[in-house]
Amino acid sequence: MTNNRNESIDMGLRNFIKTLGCMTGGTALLATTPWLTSCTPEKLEEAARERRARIGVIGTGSRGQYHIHNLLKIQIAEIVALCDIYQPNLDAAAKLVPGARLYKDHRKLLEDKDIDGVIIATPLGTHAALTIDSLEAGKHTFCEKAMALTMDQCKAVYDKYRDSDRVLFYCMQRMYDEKYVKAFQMIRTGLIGDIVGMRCHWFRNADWRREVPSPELERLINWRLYRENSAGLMTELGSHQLEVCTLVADKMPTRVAGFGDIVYWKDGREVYDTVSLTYQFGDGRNIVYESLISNKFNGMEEQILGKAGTVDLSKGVYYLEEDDLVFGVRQLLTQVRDGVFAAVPTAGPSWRPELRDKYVPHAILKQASGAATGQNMIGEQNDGSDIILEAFCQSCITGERARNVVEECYSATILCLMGNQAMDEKRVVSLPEEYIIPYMKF
Amino acid sequence: MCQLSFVLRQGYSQYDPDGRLFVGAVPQLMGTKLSGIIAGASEGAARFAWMEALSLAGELEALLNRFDPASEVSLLNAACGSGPRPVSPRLEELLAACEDYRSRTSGLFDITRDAASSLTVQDGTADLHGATLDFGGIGKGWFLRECRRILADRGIRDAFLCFGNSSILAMGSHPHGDCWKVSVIDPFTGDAVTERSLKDASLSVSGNRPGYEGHIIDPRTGAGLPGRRITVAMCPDPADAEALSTCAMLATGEELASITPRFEGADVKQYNY
Repeated sequence: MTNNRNESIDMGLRNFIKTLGCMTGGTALLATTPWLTSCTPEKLEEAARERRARIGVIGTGSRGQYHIHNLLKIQIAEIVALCDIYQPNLDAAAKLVPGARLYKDHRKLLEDKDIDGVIIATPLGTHAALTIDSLEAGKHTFCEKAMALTMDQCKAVYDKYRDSDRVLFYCMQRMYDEKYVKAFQMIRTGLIGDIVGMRCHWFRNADWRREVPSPELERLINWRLYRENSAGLMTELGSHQLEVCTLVADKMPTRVAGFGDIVYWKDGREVYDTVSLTYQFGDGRNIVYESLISNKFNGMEEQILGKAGTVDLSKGVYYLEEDDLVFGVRQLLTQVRDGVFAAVPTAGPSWRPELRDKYVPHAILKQASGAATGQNMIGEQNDGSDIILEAFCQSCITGERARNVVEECYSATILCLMGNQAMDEKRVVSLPEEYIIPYMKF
Repeated sequence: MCQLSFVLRQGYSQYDPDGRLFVGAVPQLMGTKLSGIIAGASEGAARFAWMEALSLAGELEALLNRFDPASEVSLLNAACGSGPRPVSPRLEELLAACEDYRSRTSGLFDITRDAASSLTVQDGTADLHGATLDFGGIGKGWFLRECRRILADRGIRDAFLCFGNSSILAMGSHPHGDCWKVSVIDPFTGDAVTERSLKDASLSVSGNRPGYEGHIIDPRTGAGLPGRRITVAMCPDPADAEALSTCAMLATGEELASITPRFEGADVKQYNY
């Protein structure tokens, strides 16, 4: 069973890259998704022949254990060390990896010479310090998103990364999600025409609380609720969605306005449970962003609005304003290409242009999957981080960085923090010049 | 960057050299949409045939589109009641064909939509005698008939053209089968009404749609046909199929049984709800 699962996960990255390569060709792949060039099948083969990446995990709570489960399925990875300041979490992780060395102080783990790469799955407030420590210790580093709690911390991490030769990944798994990558490419080639705006939202109905065994552990375990360690909905959820917006637009918004408040969960938490913002690009286009956790009716969507159509990235579907170009023979075309001979529901009374009253969704990927429903992004299924995790392990062996991943995470985190500032101060916040990096385009 | 607005104006086409498969689509053509698949042909043959077909459609539209005030039919309609008017040889040919269809369908297929009126076509002139002309779907039939000729001239044997959902030309067969199979869909329920296998055949479907009922005029009464009926006509000739599916919307079962044998190879069915 273990072997089969190993194969399936390794095939995940291999097939992912292979499929994308087939879809795009090397040049197109490089042009639209340059971060993927560090993990081609050839490089993966080479890395696998060389040795396994020795991984240490800092933070073995629920997210850390999730990564451990995935690492155990990756053939080129070997978990050699675990670290957590909370003993129950460390004990739980140790049961998953019986042979791993155990630490309660991350500095001790970083001193361990037999570790190539470090995975950081700790509260947001600790990301910057741990990442900088890890890079300084010469470790390749993979950190959960978002990058940091403050803009100053983001800049410090970015500067450290720039001056380092180590690999740094952030868990921006949409950059390694097949349906997102395909959608980026389709949008770039004009599928929906000129992009005129973006709308993203993420709605849940849950209090975000975790059970606390003892009151003094409240701020440790429920760190997401308190500002000393959390930037709330923006960094926990919004960072993923704003990141895909900047990737698609290939530009950075320059200002933001919005409102946020604690509308329902008045339980002593400090972060907003409801946020609504508008980010504006220099050319006037907007990203409208909304998130709340007391109603889940609208679910999660990332809509890229084009003059000729709309792509919903999270669902992996697109809609055309003038649908549909190969009207009448689309299904037949699919059948012919798939070698299927069957009747197609083509004929009927004459089509009348004025009768079309709804948009028809078209799948971005041929195969229906959980990814296409967005279930993987909300934890109903694998959230896709196994692919980016494997790409990181490969980079731990080759030493090759994945282009743009750090820059994208930096940009998305800055946007999240700008949004929080705009809501806190109830004013329009512009991107501060001191946080502009050369990667950003406007 | 390829903008879709450009595609919408120019139509869409793509050729897959591995599968020797051409697909083309035009979102606005003769008031509806055209899409098609050409299988097993070279890219050059498929593209030339497709472009030639689109060019032909443009000519037919300029001739028959009654919503275009500059079309020949619009000009003729505007002059109705003023005696014989000169018409182009092409329109004279088409008007004569419609008169033939009117005769063979016992008056049920009537582009004047008025059984009391008559149309006189002779010596390069047409006299509408106060009626106006609406070619309706027969234009699609003529277009598909010409497409068949164009494709055959290019050596193309296997093709499937879908014109506005209701008119289908199936040449040869599906690359993985011995014919082309289509289902006819009831627009009120979405259910399949019937399934047909087409090989070197045409299919025409007539019927009312939700929100678009009564558009088929009974020339005997001048009233739109209410209710839910779908008719399916399968014939070797696309124009024959158009005439028959329209006629079948108005005919009783007995009338249809007597009319159908007048069309070679025709198979016509009525589905009432």
